[in-house]
Amino acid sequence: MINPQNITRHVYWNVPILFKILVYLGGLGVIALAAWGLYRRIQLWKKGKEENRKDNLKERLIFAAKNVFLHTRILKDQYPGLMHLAIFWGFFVLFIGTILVAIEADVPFVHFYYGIFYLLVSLALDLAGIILIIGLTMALYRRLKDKPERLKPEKREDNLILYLLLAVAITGFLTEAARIAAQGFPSFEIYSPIGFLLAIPLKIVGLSGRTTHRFLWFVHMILSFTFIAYIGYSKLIHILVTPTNITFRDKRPYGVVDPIPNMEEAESFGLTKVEELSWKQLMDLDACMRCGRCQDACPAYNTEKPLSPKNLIQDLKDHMDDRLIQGKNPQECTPYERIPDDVIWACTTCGACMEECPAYIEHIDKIIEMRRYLSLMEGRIPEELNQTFRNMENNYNPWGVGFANRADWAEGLDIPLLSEKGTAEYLLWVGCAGAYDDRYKKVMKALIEILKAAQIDFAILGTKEKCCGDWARRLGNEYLFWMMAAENIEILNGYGVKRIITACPHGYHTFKNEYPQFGGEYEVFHHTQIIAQLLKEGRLKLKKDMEGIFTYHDSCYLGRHNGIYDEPREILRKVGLTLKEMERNREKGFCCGAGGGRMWLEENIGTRINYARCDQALAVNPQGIATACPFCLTMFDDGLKAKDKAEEIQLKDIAELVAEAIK
Amino acid sequence: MSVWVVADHRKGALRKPAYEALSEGRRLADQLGTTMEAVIAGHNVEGLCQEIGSYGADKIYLIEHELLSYYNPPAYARAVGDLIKEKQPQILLMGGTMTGRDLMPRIAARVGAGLAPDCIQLEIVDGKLKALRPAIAGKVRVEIGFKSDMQMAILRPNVFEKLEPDTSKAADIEKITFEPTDLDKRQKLVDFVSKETGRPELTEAEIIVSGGRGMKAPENFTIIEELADLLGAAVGASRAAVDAGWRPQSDQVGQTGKTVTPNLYVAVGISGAIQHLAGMSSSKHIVAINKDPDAPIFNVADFGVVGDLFKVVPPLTEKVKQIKAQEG
Repeated sequence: MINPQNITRHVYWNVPILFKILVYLGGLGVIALAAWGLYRRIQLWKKGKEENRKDNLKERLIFAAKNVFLHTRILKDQYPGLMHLAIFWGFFVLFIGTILVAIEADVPFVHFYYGIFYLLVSLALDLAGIILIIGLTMALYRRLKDKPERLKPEKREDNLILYLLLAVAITGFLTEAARIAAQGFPSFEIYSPIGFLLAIPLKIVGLSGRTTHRFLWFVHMILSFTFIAYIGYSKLIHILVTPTNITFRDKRPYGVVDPIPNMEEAESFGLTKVEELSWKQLMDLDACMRCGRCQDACPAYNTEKPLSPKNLIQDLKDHMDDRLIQGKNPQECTPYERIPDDVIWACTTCGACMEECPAYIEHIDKIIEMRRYLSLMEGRIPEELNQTFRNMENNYNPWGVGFANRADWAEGLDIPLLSEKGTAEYLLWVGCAGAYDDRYKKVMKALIEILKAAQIDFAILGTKEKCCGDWARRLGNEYLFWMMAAENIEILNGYGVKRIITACPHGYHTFKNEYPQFGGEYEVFHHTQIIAQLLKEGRLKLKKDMEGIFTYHDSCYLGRHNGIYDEPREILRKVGLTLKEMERNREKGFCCGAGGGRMWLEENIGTRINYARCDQALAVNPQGIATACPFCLTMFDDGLKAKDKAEEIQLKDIAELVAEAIK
Repeated sequence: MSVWVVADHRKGALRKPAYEALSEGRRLADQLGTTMEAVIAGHNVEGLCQEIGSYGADKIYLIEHELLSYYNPPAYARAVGDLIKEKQPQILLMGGTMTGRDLMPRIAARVGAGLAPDCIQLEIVDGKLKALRPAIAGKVRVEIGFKSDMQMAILRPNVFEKLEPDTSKAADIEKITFEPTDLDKRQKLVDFVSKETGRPELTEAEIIVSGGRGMKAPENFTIIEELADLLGAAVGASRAAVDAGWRPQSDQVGQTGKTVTPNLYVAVGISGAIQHLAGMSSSKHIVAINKDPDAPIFNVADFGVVGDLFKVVPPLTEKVKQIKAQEG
């Protein structure tokens, strides 16, 4: 038996004193260099506005740790996910190993690097090295051979970093091999299997001397130091920035935007200068590693619009550097030189990019800030919006139908008005579509039948209801939104409304997540939630077993923004329909094209998003398409008609299907 | 001290808002007990002076130059502006055409006068002009008074009454020479591209015939065009027809297209989705032809025909032809 004390290796074995000094001085030097690089970026973020993201820090840290160590989000895309996981864990274990070695070497009276521990660490580090090399090879294959569209345009650092890390890993193994060879192949070193194996050819070609080891050690050190210093000046900075960015993520639903602070006295609205973004929004720009998952998910990009969420973030970052590092003044450098208006208006605020982003970057917030600038400061809005904004100002609905006619649809339906009834358990928010759009009036009538059948105590506001303002806010007309919100909240609070049912996901999102910003706090339910609940409690009796294969289209504001995926599907199954999912469903759902106020804009560039989504639905060969949003319904209606499929494919809101099943 | 009107014209004819401005100018001049004088700038427009006179102009300043054959902003502003500066009329009016809305602010800046745009009513109060214009999307009306001696106003089209012309009247014509500068020559008309449909503009038309998805194919729009031409109407389209590529974007009526308010709107094969209604439901009279009796367009129509448009429209066109023939 060998004495366990002898099962070890001496740190700095065969390293001349001069090199050793170089390790300490150089090590401190490169760490300082990297830190300086990071410090410069932090100084940039600090120029942004204050924003509180420090609440509940413990939960935030746990969430970030999960994302870092388990790669929860990164793994959703398999190949690049596994690739990154391999690089991360390989690198991380080697990093820990290096720390252990440093402690053994430099902390006085501490000695643990021998015996079984030494063997286990050796084995772990060799495995980590192999895993790292596998990950790097996968990455290089992807960049050199596979060349996915979403990685373009590439920068020189992209491949350079991979080569550098690969060189560090390989020289690490070679140094180990040279040491094992020079030490005469101690048998326990078989626990460093890669080093041991590599030592054999070294011996054969006669490179088993101390000089070889010394030389390789030196090269390995220089490469590692280069790597460390480079962290502060390349996208390697994400090792530090991205976990921080995840920690301070926006915990609210994706689509929620903040009001313009002190709007009545503010002198500029939206993004005029990059430092008007908050520190977190600026940090976002540095957290982006250009992986392009957002671009792959983006309905605008996928229908040939000029918007790529990735490029948008990169353009903003370049602008930040121009403005804050080069110090150009705001007159000679605006974000809008790099980001044309078409890009900004192309967004449907569907949140697909935010759902994908492994760094939890907040794209929608930035786009809304830019739209606010275009709408409120410049008046540079798509021409067709003028009329829609004016309609809303005059008649409180986007179509401009007279506000006095808002309750006409309800005539003869015996629907209680809150003004007559005084109180009701639920306020049914009819919404502009339910009140004015002939197609959606049918949905509203179906919903009324359901609520009555379940004996729900409800009432409507009638002509006192106004548009919730969602689309105006998404289009950057915060002032118009604020008017609508303030007026609605006054009415709602005046009646002491506590619970609201809405048939429109946009109203749902706005009431639930954004009206509280203006003092309107309500319990808000989407009709699919209420119906699912009523079915569960047996308060709705299904009298007819419906048949047919339906596909369900997720509304972004219901699904991604508010996590309501299951209720609509449950309902469809309960009424007897067979549900066939589209390829992009639930979190990966593809927008109908009408979100973010795009309902009111022409779509002149590329393929129409609703046509693309219709094709995706038709691809599963359904007999019917179910939706739960008036915008989605309109977009599918248009799409199916354009594709000459309106006659053969049923297009129904969930409420209509349920109303039929209880008849 | 007199009331002046700039007469806008295109393709050898005065434009409708010009008649309205001349008529209003005459009315104001009578109230003030002064003369109404008109300016016309262009190339080969002397022939229009007779007509201007019949609308009550006492005197016409005629500025003729080749460079003024189309609306050239710097040249027009200098030609008309310099004359105004020299003659110092009390009131200057122009109809709210594109030209009017561009030219008047230029003149106002040149002569340093106050300008009220988009007016829907003008009055004389204590010898001064008082203008009324809608603001905040029509929610309020703003009364505009003037500090300057010269008072300028742009008249919203289709609001002011047009007088019956009196052909017995004739105005004195004074020709003004215009010497273009290099600055005026910087703009050059390269080509005049217009749709050349010979039909009125959608937004100015008194009658519009529109087709939708029910038209089935672009070539079928000939039956709509035929009816429109007989009625002197503009041709519109629903978004579906535009999206399908059957009609140009400029023909689109609706939420994201043009908002129109004609006296008569004939919707052919248009179901009347709310997106379309938003652009035309304030038309004075609406006629709908659609095979689907449940089509929402019938909810806003004053007169509806449920039937196959290919069987309804051609006989309708024939009937209009007959009536026109009878009327001679």
